[in-house]
Order: sequence, then structure tokens, then C-alpha cells
Amino acid sequence: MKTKTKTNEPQVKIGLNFWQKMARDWQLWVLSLIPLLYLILFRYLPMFGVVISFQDYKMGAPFIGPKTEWVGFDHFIRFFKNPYCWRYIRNTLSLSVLSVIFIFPAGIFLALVFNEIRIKKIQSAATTISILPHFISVVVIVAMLRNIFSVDGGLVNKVIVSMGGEAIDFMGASEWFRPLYIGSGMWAGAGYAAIVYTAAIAGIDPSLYEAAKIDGANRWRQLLNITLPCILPTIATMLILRIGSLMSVGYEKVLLMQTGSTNDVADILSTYTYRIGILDGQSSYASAIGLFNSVVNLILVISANKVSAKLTESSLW
Amino acid sequence: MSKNANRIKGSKSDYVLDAIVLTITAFVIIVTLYPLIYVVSMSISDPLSASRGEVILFPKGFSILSYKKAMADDAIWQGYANTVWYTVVGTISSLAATMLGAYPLSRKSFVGRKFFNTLLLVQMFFGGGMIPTYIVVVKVLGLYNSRWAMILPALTSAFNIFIARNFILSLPEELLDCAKIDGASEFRIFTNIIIPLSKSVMSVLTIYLAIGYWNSYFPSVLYHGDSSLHPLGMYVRKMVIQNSILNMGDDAMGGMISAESLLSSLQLKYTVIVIAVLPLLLIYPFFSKYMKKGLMVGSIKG
Repeated sequence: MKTKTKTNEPQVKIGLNFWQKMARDWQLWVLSLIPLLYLILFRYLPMFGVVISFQDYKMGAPFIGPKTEWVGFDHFIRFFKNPYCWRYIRNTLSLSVLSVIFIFPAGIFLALVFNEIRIKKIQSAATTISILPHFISVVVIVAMLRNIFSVDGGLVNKVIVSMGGEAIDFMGASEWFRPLYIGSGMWAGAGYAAIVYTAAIAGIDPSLYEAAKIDGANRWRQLLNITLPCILPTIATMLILRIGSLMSVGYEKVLLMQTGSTNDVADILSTYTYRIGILDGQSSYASAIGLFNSVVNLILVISANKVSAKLTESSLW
Repeated sequence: MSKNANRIKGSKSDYVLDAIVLTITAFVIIVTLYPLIYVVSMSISDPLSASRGEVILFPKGFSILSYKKAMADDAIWQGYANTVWYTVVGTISSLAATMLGAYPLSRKSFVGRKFFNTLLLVQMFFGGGMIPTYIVVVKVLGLYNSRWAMILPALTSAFNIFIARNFILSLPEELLDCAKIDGASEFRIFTNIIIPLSKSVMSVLTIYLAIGYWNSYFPSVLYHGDSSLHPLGMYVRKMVIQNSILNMGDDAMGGMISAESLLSSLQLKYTVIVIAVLPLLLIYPFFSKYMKKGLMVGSIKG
């Protein structure tokens, strides 16, 4: 063992070559066999499988075989020539930019508000309750959304009608898709997003507050001049990381919310990939779109991380 | 207490702040809980009141008719049973895979450490995407219509492995050295030292994995043509989201008057939602402490 080299038997252990080390660690290899197999089969084999983006892949064939028909960048060109191409990209970006604008600050806001609650029991209860929706399945959330905003018999429309208004088909109206997506996202995610800032606030040196108190700063001033500046690095890191995932909007919730009539705003890259690839069976074309999306994501993450490393000295790697 | 001292010294603006803070908190709690309470109220109200929209927050009248109806459908029980299977088997498998990955990675002298680490890191930032994964799962591994398709494609994650590894790294190194001197094999160290000492991180992971599996439904959309394998989420999706609930009540109840069943089909949707979310709501108060802890573990790493 390396740790023992300093004490008793330095020469012997240092002298191990690569294969001897492999032999020494065989038990550790056996232990890591399952996770390694998982990574290779379910993460790296599909990663290799993106080669089908450059082929006319027939379902069931090997990724690369004697019968493989290479088509180069044809699928990518086809995608960019698709008149709806920009719609998918625009819709994807709209949803994530709106999430950044609304849900991201909501987490910070909640953390700051909860931190100012002086009665510990209320503080803890409020935190617990606000995190709860994060654990509710997206199917249930969308199911509730669809019922509560339903055009016939939904609570919201009942209220609108009883106040003399006209019932609105929320789920079927394009202009309501984004507000509902973001609103339900905030309901489900704001409390969870607050956690990281709550942790950051908990890490602030208490002597700062004491010094401020002695100087006569009230709690408003402490909030604005100590708490907020102290969590600013965390905010910056989280924001940069969030920007790194701007192009990756999950398909699960959007697919559940789609009603057909809202497709002009509700069709995003990932749902389009699903529809083309799984439902229509155009594997290569869909894989090409997925690859385009992944590459853009990768570029965004790497740049975000670079910026983060420069500005806040904290990065993912 | 410094708190009291603070309160006595507190200026007027401090009270204004308190008032604002408590108002916002109350608002957040109401907005969070309202939909949940409303859904429960709708499901247990008198069917007529429910369909007339008389329920605003608390139940109007009381009826468990829609629960009887919902539970008369075998598919919901099938969904429940499947979800429980996926949750139990999935959680155990994932926890095992995560710990098995975490321990070797925590050993600084492990010759494969760098290789393993790189494998984990690279796949965090780039993946094959939905279609190649689908091809691997369905065509290469032949997992179409297999229960394991719900579990294996997301068996473990770099994130979970790193959380567990960081925890193991925080254990005193002397323990390992002592065990080594006593001649314990790596297997013994793993089962007799690492696992018993990692209970706290394992309990947090267990809760997260279990909730993840409980809520998971999309692999079933992709990989299960056979509806007898569908988890509860698929049932909710079919009944509430794809709106196929109307006929179901009639079949289940046989001689129901169709007008009445039409009326209560709305209520039935709420009932299905409650049935799906109830277990989580019931366990949440007991595990919320762990959940918060888990979030902290995750956030510190980020």
C-alpha cells in the first residue's frame, strides 16, 4: 500500500509495475464490476451508437457492420432544412430561459424569506412543506394541472365563470402553455431550489451579523448588506451551471402537457426526437437531432464551467 | 437568549420585516398545499357536489364511491403491485451498484481509480441520447417487455456514486489499515466495515432512489408494450392525461346508470391522483428530515 511506503518496506511496494498492481487490486476490480458493466452497456455503448446519426440505420442491425450505409451529414442537413427546425430550438430555449428568469430567482427569494423567520418551528415547517412538491411525480403534477385548469369542470374555470368571465381552455391554448409549464415548475421546484442557498446562508460567519448589530444595522440592512452579498458566489455558480443546461429541457413533462393544439409552442427538441425516433421509427434522423442537442449542451456546459472557474473559482472539474 | 435580546432591541422596521416574511411564508404554504388538499377533497366529496364544482377547498359531503370504483379496476392494483416491485427491486439494485462503485473509487491506491473516475465523469456530460439507448436496451440487450428495463438503464449515476464515495472518504483511514493488518480481504472490508459504517449515507440514498423509482414511468412508455408491466404512473397517465377514464367506471361497476358514472368520472380522475400520490404524502412527514439532509449533501457537492 502506498500509505505504508513511508514506514517499513519502501522499496518493495514502490517497485510494483502496472500488472502487479492490477493483480494486487483484483478484489477491487471484482467489486467495481457491476458499476463498470453498467457504464459500458448503458452509457458507453449508446454513446458509440450515435454513429447511426451518420448512417441509414435499420432497426436491429449492429451499429457498425458490413451492411452499414453511411450518409455523412445528410440527417443534420435535413433537420436544418426542416421549416420547423427553428421552432423546436426556439421553443426549447424559451422554456429554459423562462425557467431561469422565474424559477431560479424564486429559489433565492424563498431561501432569504425562510431565513428571516424567527420562529424555528415555523421555519422548519415552511421548508418541509415547500420541498414536498419536488418529490411528487411529474405525471401526478400534470394530472393535477390538467384537472384544475380543465375547461369543463376545472376549479380555475369555475371561479372565472362564477365571476362572470368566459371559460378558458387553458390546456389547449398555446398562449397558456408556457405560463402553466413555468407556474407548475415553480410550484414543484422553488422550495427545492432554495435548499442550496439555505445551506450557503447557514455557512455565513455569525460574527458578521454581530458586528453589524453593534454598528446598529437593523435586519433589513443585515439582509441586504451581509446575507445577500455572502451568498452571491453561490448564486453566480448556480446561475452559470443552469445556463450550461439551457438546451436540455426534459421531454417527460412537456409530453404529458402536450394536447396537439399547443404544438406550436410545446414542441421542443427532445419531444420531437421522441416522436420521430420512437413513434415514427426514423432512428438515424432522430439520433442526429439528439446528437446535435447533446453537442450544443456539451459546448454550453464547458463554456459555463470555464466562466464559473474564472469568476467564482468553483468549477465542476 | 440572543433571540429575545434581538426582539427587545428590534426597531419598528424589524417588525415590518417580520410581518412581510410571515405573510410571504403563509402565502407559500397555502399555494403549495392548496392543490393537494383540493384534489383530496374532490375525491372524497359527494359526487354531485364534486361535479357541480361546489368544492372549493374542503370536502362537501362525504362519499367513497369513487374509491370503490377506482379500486374495482384491476389495472390500478396491477399498477400498484408493479410500482412496488420496481421500487423495492430497483432501490436495492441501485443502492448495491452505487456502493460497489463508491468503495473502490474511495481507495486512493486502487489502480483502476483514474480509469473508473474518467468513465464516470465523461458520461455525465455527454450521452448517446434517447434513440441509441433505446436501440441498446431493446435490440442489443433484448430488454423489451422486461421488468428490468425500468431499472437497468438508470441503475446508478455518477452523482450518487460520488456522494457515497465522499462519505466513505470521510471515514477514518486507520480502520482500513487495521483490517488489512488483520488480513481482511477487500470483500470483507466492504461488507463488514464500509457497509455498516455507511448507514447514514445509505439511508439518504435509499429514500432518494425509492422516490425516484416510485415516480418513474417513462422507461415504461419506451420499453413496455405489455400493459401488465406498467407502473402506477402509466395508469395515471392513461386515465387522467389521455382521458380514457370515461368507459372504465361502467365496466368496473357493471350496472351503474351511465349519467351518474359520467358525472363522477370527473371525480374518478381526482381519486386516481390521490391513490397515486397518497403513499408519498403519508411517508413524507417521517422522512422529510432525511430528505432535507440528502438535499444538503447534494448541494454542498454542487
